[in-house]
Amino acid sequence: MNLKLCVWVSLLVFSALCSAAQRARAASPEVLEGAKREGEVVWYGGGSSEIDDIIGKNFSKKYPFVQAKKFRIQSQKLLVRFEAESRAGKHVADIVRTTDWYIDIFKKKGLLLPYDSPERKFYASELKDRDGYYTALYKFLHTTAYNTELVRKQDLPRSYDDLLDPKWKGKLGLEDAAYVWFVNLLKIKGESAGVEYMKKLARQNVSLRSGTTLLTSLVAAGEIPFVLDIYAYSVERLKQKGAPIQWHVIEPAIVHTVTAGISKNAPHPNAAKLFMDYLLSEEGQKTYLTESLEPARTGIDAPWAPKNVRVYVNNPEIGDKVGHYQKLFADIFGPGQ
Amino acid sequence: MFLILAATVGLVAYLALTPLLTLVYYSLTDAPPGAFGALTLANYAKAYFDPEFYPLLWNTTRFALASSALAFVLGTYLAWICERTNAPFRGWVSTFVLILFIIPGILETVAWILLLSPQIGLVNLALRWLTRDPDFAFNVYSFAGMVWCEAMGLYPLVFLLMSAAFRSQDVAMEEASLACGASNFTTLRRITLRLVTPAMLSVFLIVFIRAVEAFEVPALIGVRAEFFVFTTKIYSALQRLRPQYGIAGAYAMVLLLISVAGLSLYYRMTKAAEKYATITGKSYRPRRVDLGGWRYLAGATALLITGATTLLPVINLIWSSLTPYMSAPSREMVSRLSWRSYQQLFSFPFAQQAFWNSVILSFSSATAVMLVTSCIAWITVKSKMPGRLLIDNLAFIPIAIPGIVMGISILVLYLTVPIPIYGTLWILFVAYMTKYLPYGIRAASASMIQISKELEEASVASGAGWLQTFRKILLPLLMPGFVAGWVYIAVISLRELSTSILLYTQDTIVLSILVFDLWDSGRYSSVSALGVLMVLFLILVTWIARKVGARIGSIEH
Repeated sequence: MNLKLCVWVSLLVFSALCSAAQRARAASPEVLEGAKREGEVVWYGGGSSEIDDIIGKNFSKKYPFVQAKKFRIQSQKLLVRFEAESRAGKHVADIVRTTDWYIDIFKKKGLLLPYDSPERKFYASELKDRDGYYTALYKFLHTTAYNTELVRKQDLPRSYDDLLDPKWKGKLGLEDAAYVWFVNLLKIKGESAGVEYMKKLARQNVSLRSGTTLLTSLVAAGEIPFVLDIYAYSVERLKQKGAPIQWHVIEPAIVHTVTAGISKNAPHPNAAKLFMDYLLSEEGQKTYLTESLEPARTGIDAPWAPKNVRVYVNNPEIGDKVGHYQKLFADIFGPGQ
Repeated sequence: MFLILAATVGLVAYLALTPLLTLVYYSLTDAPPGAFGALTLANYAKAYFDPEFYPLLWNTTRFALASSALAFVLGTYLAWICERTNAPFRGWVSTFVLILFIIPGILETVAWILLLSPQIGLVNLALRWLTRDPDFAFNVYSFAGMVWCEAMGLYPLVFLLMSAAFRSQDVAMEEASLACGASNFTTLRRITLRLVTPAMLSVFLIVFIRAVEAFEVPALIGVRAEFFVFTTKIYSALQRLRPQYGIAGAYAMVLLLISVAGLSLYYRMTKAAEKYATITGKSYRPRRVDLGGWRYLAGATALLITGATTLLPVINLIWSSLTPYMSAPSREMVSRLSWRSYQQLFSFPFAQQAFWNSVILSFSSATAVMLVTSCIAWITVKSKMPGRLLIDNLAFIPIAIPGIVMGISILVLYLTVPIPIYGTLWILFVAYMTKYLPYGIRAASASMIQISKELEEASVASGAGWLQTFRKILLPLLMPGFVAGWVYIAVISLRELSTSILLYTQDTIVLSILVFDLWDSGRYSSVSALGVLMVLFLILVTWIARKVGARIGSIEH
């Protein structure tokens, strides 16, 4: 424990020093001059196009000489395309944004450029890569959710184990690819106890659905009373539109992040640095609030988000090792159960 | 003539072979996309020694056979009513059927869930109220439910292609049959349907393969019904954090086998091609069968089938586009209806650009595919060129290649070779052309086989060149099949996602990406609004296509 503390402290000090050193460099005239010459920055990523559009426009307002071009492509397809382009020496993307498990795979494949943006010091250590390759942009809080017309508030589970109560039998729904939830719950409970728990849960006749959009919508429409794992923000958005749905936290709540890094062979490296600083800046981060997302930067909290919740942050570095958990998930919750 | 033919053959070979070779290569190596690796049979071993695979294959066969059979019967019946009888409401029926086409697959499937879910399905709630039986339910989450939903997505294709075949039919033989005292029904069974055998086989083959490849229904309904198929397996191989393209490739070989086997069966059964040539040098005029009093029943059933299968999901779609979230109609929800999702859609970044890109791509790829495949169909049906069956097979191969593999092969190819189309609309055009060759070739050959050789011979004898004959004689006579194929390709290319997503850029965004984007970010109402607009757009386009097609088709008569 002490050793761990030492590592944390030294890391903090180190990153503080680095960022102090970086601050001067990022604002340096060379980067600005370079960005002016480059004229544009291209970023790949999944996630909301509307927010990205706003971010791009605001960025260009601040730096009229750089245009931000983004196009939407999510996780594996991003991996395929980004990797194929890099290998063919056709470098298009300056910045890639994807979920934590994937970005670490990019890092391990040597596709990213370390950049210790001066803004990074405003990010908690578990929300950024220790080697400076990537930083979280926003967080997904994993919670349960229920239809407020079908489940009474006093019946809500207080712990994960409460879900094993016979009264939930046949009422639970789950996404057929809820791997982040699955893997992290196994980490929280310990591998073998976790697997035992999942097997018991599966005996509650958990009904699987493909895709979180369908799942959330079906809870709102009343087909599924209670869903085991969903992004709180998506529930919040439906709730704000008046749907009879509410998220419900069971502690420790799992959190995973959407992160960004600069491409190792970015064709517009200076513009990329400038844009990365903007993404991580207070102004850039606040944009995420408009769609009920939770910014990763310390001190900017979504107004709806629960305070003082004990969280368990997903470890990006195990992304390439979760393959067998995906099979385990299918074995436990798949057909025949 | 040889120059044109050689060029088309070369083009088809190039388009079809590049993804095919990529597919074969990936299935034989462990390299990630775009890289080279050692050759190995491990993927095949892993795929085919997997004990889970065989039950899945059996499930797929059952599912595909049942849904394509249902689609086939419905589509053919409706096409016959619309093209060959004097039943009322024909115009309505043919418009309704086509609407089903354009609705993005996700939305159509979700619409059926909202109609037939045992808990919240509107149809079930209505029937429960009517029958006063609280347990009454058509359960969409069942084998039958899946077959129903899949068939609903497929039967418009059957309708479209069979209509074209019926339209190009000469009546001389039917009249002879009636004159000999055969009844209407006997004539239908023994003459009309026999004559369209090539078209029926073509259509069944396509529909069957499409059902094998079906994705939305197995994912959205099958997962809950615990009925898993082959595509779920390919999908899960690709869904891994490190996608297993090799294994997906090995599985795709099954699809390739089915396609090639299906085609050879088709050739055997339509060997004597002249038998089916009904458009001859003699007078040619399709005639409608007078059904007498039955025509009201025929018209009513047709209207009921199409009405129920189109209007229910479309009304559902309109409802969803006007409500803020997924919900059953109620008085309270009626007070909350609004145009917000439409406004949101129009202000969505790149919405207009996506629309225009999609329109350009869909029109150009449909036209190009139909022109190329008409030439190819002439070679395979009319000429005696050696290796002509191979060419037909080549044009049909892309149907067996999973969209994502197609995307990867095109991506990697144009990243490596010095043809500067990467990141432009051209690369999407190439992809769409490759992907839709199989549909074009089946529509074109089924029509070509109906045209008798003597018409060309007369033209050539009168001093016309091959190109002139093709343009002035064959193309107009092919028009019904040409238009049917064109409409189908134009429409499904608006929905293409799996390949486009790897190839588009910000400037070349297309509608299907937008649909996916909206769906993925949970904007169900906006997706529905987009679906409604696409339906309106489709109605306009088919109307124009038919006008234009009818004009070209009639000038030369």
